[in-house]
Amino acid sequence: MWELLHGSTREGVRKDDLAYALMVIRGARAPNREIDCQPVEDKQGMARFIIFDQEGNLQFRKGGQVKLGAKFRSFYINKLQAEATSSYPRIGKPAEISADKALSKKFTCSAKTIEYAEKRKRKLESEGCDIVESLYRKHKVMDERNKARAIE
Amino acid sequence: MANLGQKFLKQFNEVLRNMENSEEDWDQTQLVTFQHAGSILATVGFLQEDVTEDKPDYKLF
Repeated sequence: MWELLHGSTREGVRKDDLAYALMVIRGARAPNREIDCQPVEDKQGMARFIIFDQEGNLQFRKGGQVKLGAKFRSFYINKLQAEATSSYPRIGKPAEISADKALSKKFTCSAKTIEYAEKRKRKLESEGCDIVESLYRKHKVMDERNKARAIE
Repeated sequence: MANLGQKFLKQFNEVLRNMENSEEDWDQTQLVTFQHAGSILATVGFLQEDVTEDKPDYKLF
């Protein structure tokens, strides 16, 4: 990657070039930023898809972004794993992020609900019946009540 | 591209700002050196933090 960005020959890379390359590796694609031109003759492999304009800005030839993404797929995988465990805001649609939060959120009962559940549990234990039977009986009673109301 | 790119750039720029504040002899007007680029990639998550020279990812970098 360092060689592709001409890091050795220029003794460093421009921050914008590095950001652009990493953005493409992360999965961003902008075909309108690709240039339809011939490769430099002495270049081989992935280097054939990378060119620098007169001002020294990194540019891709047609299809270069996809090629770069494929070549650095392991970087992409590392990045996704890092995002999953990072404290940085996740990259994704807001709906996906909120869904993730909802899944990780633990269910909590209010004090009133816990009190009611305990009361109900004690009552069932005193009656000597199990929860399934109790719920079945409750639905049966409610069904009969609804039928009676419908007839009225 | 725009949404994904903007979010990534925000994170990238934050890392550069932190690097500028912590590195006395580097600011954002200069080129990013090999060592700094490695730090950036590890910080934003493209390289694992415990990467060593014999790992395939290091060679790819």
